[in-house]
Amino acid sequence: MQHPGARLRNRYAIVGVGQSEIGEVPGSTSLGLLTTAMKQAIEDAGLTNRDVDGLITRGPDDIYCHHQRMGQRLGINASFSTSTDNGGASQILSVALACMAIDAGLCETVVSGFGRNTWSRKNQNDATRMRGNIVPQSQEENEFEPEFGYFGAPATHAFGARRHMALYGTTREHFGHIVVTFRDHASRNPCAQKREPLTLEKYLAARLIVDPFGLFDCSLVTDGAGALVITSAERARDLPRPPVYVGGFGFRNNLRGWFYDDHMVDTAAQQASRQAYEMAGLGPQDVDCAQIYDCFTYMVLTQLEDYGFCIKGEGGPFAASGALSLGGALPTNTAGGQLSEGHCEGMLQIVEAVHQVRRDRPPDRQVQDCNVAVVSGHGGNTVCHSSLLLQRTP
Amino acid sequence: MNQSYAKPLPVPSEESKPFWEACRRHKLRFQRCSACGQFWFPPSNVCPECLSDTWEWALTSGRGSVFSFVVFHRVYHPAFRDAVPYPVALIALDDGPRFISNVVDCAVEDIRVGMPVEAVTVVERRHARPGQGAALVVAMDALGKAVDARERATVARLFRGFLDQDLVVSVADWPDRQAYATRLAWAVGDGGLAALCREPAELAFFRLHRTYGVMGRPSRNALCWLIRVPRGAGEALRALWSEGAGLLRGAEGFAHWYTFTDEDDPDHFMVVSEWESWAAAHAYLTGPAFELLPGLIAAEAVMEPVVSVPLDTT
Repeated sequence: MQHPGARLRNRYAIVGVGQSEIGEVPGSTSLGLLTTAMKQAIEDAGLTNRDVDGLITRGPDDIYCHHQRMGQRLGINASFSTSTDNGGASQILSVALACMAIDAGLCETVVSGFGRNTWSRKNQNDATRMRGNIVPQSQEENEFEPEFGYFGAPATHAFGARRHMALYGTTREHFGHIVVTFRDHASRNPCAQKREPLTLEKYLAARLIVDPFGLFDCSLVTDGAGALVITSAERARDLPRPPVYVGGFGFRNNLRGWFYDDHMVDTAAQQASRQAYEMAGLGPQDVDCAQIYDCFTYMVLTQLEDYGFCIKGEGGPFAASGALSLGGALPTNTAGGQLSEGHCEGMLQIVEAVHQVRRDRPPDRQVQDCNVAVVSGHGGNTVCHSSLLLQRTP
Repeated sequence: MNQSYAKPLPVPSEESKPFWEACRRHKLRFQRCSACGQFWFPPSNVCPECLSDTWEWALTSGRGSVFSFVVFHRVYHPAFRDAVPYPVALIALDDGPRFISNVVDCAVEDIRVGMPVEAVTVVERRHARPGQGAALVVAMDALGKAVDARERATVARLFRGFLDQDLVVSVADWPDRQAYATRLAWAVGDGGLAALCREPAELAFFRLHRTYGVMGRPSRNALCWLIRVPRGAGEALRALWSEGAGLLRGAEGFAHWYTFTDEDDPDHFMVVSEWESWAAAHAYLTGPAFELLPGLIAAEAVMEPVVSVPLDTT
């Protein structure tokens, strides 16, 4: 039986993308960066703010009613607008919400985006930081964690990495191959935050953060923003850019927790990706390039398995085989990912997927004959996952 | 060791208070559904399996295994600066839920996923000092290094230092009344144990039995006994101690002692002594000097050694 969501398959398209300056942008604000990215996306789509009647945003958690602030800055009165709260899984969710809202006749053209100034906030002088703590109160450590010295996202994901190593013989070298490959991709991306080459030796020699993660296993602290414009396939045909069709999307939120069942190894990506594949009528063998949410190296490794690119337990050898390189079997995070290009909670990876499907990257960055791109999103305290399949031909 | 305890302390909510209260009494309790028997953690007001709102704080065996673990090298909190690299583990209890804890008494490089562990409460505190805290840390002990669970304590009594009022020790009674005294001890300031988790305090270790050290130092030869005197005769013992006479001074090989009064029973006391050698400790315990002690206090006093095995020196 066909997936019920197949009714939406390729009926909506991403028609514009934008991004702000990425990396270390002293003095930047998250709202300012996102305004830049959204303005660029609207212009890229050949539209104006008067054409936009939907707005779905995500920003730092301490900005109340974030979408209202953005609508005010961009002069948009929306028929449909909201701010999302699924962490790194939010950006693909915003694409799906846009498609569903347009499909329901609630609006016609949606801008979505994510912006942050995490690097600037971290590096502000103390007086400024006092006014805007880098960790919003809503994300401060919970009870039953700090008493035992358990802090931060690296440790949470490292629990999964350690268990994967114990169950399947995965090694730190396997993790290293992932970031070394992404750094090579970033070295070709003039907008990337980290472009200097990385070797496996340098990876292994770097200081440990939370073992088994070292410095290079962790994604970057970034100022930056990315944005998209989504509209119907019919309207897309009148716009200047080649439409990038939304073939399918899928979600799975293991809300009972990362520590429940074996969610840290058999992640929510399994169910989310299956849903997306079924909606799109595609399978892993159809994917030409992947943009995998890489908050930490291990998350790439386990998602390669969960998305069906290799079987469970073989993500390490698969990553070490060179498959993830531009020119490899599954070019992955072709702009550098969050480990090298910059961490905008997955939004830059959707932007990169759109460029790959449009085939408008320079030759040394372009995946040949790219027709189908998969994008993943992961976050919200490690339990939320979203999958997106984009394609060139409806 | 007299260093202040600056690590984050539990800030119990109304929902989590029973968990921390149980820890303070060296017990590991989690919510268990009375309808379907499921354990859950962290605390909530209904069972996440069947949504029943009938449940209890059930005692667990404390036995389990390491589901996964990480080792912190980066200092996220200044109080852990001297602790790195330290392990943080997700523990899967055999008869309870999973929860975050630490692995103790095991070298970091020896920790393995799947390794069996047993819960111990680890001590760390004492001596009131404004701004410092006392907390109870639940930790896990590598199985095999811990005492057999069958000998698990059933009752804990609290003793307050007689000469040092800030020192409080818990002593566990064991089902078979032999061998092991207390797994840990701690001392708090004027607020007493009721406010343990938020108490201003200074840190010290006080662990008896086997590898336990006393007052933060490894103690190879600690001897502990309880003294029960007839009703009202406790004053005689207090007088002896107050005069500084002690009961041990002059004994061959004697090093230090700590004296305690049962918080709930003025005629019940405990003495912890340290000796230069186990042989000296054992000689005293089995010799005539020890047998004379009851006569010094009250004819019917009962002297009950609670640590009587050679201490593990590993």
